[in-house]
Amino acid sequence: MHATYTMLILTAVFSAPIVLYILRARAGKGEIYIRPIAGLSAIDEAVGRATEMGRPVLYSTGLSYLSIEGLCAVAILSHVARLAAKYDLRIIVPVNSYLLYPIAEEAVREAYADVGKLDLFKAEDVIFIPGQFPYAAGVVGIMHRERVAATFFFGYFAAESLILAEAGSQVGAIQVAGTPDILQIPFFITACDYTIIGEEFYAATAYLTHEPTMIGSLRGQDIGKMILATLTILLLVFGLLMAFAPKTFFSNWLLDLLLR
Amino acid sequence: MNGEAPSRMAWYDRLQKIDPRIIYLVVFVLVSIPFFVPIPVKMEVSPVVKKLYDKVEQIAEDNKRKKGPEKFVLLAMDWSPSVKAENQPQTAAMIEHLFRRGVRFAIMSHLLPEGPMMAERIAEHIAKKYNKRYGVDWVNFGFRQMRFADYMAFVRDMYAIISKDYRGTPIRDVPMMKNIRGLRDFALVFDVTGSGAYADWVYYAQPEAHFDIGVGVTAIIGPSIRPLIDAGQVVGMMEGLSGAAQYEQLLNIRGQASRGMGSQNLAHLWVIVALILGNIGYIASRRREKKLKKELK
Amino acid sequence: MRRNIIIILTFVGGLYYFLEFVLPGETGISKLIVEIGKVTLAIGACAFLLGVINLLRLHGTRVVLRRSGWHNSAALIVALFVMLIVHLVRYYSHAAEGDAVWRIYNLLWDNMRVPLDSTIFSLLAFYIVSAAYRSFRIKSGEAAVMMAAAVVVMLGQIPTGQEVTLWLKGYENDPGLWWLSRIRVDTIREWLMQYWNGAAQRGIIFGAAIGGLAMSLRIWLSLERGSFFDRQ
Repeated sequence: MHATYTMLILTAVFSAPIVLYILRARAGKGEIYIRPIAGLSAIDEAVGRATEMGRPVLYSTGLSYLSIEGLCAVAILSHVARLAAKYDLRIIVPVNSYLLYPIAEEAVREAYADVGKLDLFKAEDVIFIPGQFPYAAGVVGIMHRERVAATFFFGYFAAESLILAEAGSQVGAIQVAGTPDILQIPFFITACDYTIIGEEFYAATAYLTHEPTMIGSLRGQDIGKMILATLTILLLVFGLLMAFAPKTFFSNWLLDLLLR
Repeated sequence: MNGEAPSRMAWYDRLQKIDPRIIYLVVFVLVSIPFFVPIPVKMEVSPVVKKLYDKVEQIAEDNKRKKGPEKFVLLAMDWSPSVKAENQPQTAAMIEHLFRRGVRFAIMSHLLPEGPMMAERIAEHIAKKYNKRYGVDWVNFGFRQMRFADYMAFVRDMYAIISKDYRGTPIRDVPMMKNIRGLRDFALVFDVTGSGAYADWVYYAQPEAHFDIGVGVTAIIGPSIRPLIDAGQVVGMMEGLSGAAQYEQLLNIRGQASRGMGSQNLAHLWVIVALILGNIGYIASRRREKKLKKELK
Repeated sequence: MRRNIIIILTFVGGLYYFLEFVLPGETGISKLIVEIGKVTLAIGACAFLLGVINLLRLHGTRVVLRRSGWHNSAALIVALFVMLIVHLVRYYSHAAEGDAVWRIYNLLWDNMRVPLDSTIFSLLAFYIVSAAYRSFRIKSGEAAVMMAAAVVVMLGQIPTGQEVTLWLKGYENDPGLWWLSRIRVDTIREWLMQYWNGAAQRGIIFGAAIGGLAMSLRIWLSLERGSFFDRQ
């Protein structure tokens, strides 16, 4: 399958604001505001609490593989690992994907190195557990045995999300979860203290680093969404016109254009 | 639960704080009852299940009337033993339908090696009923891990990706494969999964090969398929155990799904009762608080 | 230098698929796709080995050094090799069903692996009930609407729930009261799932797709900044 003209134009229309705002942000033009995201702000609180209790934290990437969700999860892991390293806190990272595993291990190692505590890094704390429910069973076991004080669930989760979240709740850990998969959100909201929903997960990298490039990209995404919403409303209006006046040239015009 | 002696708790507080062990015990008992006392079920078939059924019927009819080259069905078995309770009955119902109507099919998975193994056992079991033979009436490609752009290669040249079948036989030596030039000879891909594996078929393979896609998913995934059905990207769906039970009803068989619906029936009712009990307690405690506040004023 | 090589390779890799998509018709670029697909499959297979090596490294170290929980690690390694050997022997010896190796395989797979996996999944049934009971409280009007919708959806998918309003189906052909047949619990469920839920899911898909597009652009153009990617 190759792109139609409409696909090309739409790709350009959605990509242009993203690239444009990234370039603007890099040039330092204009300040872009990101509203506070409670779940991400809570990461510091959670790590702080774990430090006071002297118990480790657990960071689960769920079933994420080498995909956008997985890479976002690793970016957030990097931030959490840096915080943990700063407070001499142990961070346990069970990873389900063999593709993501070396990246996650490297991220944690780099985080410890950044704060000058590479000697505290333990490679065996980044654990590879394949399989969906073996992963769930393994992580639940780790939570209970290590008595983790804080758990972070970031990435792609499926049915095991509730098992993980309930187990964390049973050990009394403070829990922060974030996943772009809307189906698991109800389970995380039920069992976790803070939940990051949908696109807030993608915004997390920008939010945590306050990197202008990332914030610019976020702004570009919002513009793209507004364009999409406008297009949807226009199509709805034309759709209604087509339903009531099917032979009108005007009402067929937009749909013909989009289907070309 | 908070260390408070139960006798001191008001009835509305007790309703809100039922010990989870009691909840688990009731679930266990209710789910177990239909194992010993079969509960017959008759369900209304939902339109999405009917559409899937009709699609298979249409393929069978087209093949029977020789409307063009023979069309096949690809069973993408992207499920693992953990979701066996929902996905196995869906697989069994579809295989039963395909065997019954003489539609030949291939089994594979791009996500999990266990799926083709379990589907093979189901196929072998049902094949005895219809005198079907492996290699002639169905073939198993086994597990081929694919992601994203691999689908483009798979669609354009299936034989470049599949060289042997599940049993190690060179694929071109399998009798059924003589009639299959490529993935475009498959009219329907039926993806059974407990995760988001259907997305790869919908977004990467279907635009290339233009086959129809049907899905058998766990109930939790079902809601996310609805927009795809609306857009015509997915032709029909078996949603959870009830979807499989509805499909069995269309086939006039009482299979695993129909037998399991008894347990699901009772468990759902218990969830509703628990919700009602908790909320009765909550509303009563709110009223009590308001009353106390008024009295204090 | 390493960073520049990574940037160039990432860009070229992404550029290939982008050009293949946008250029019309079958070009020279399109002809390579099957071969590149085989390469990515092979890389995926090699990467699979990484996981096994990691498992052996991690758990082997634990066994050798007798760290806490070493017996669990030993059990894992034994299970890994037993399953691997039995499967390889079964496959390459072309054993017939009923042979010893088949019986051992069935014991390990049907009687151990499958029930273990299913058991963990079955925990969900209990957890869902307790989590729903614990958290669903009608604290506001929206919560009440959500609760009503949840009850209707649950009732609509079980036989008992459908039985409650099945009698309304009799009005299907009634000229005046045909609309009663539409307000059965299963039809309301379908309506809620297909239209209300479908619209919400579609909105989420749109947003996630744009988020994914942005992330893809950032990775392709190596614009992704963050504590981790900055160092790659």
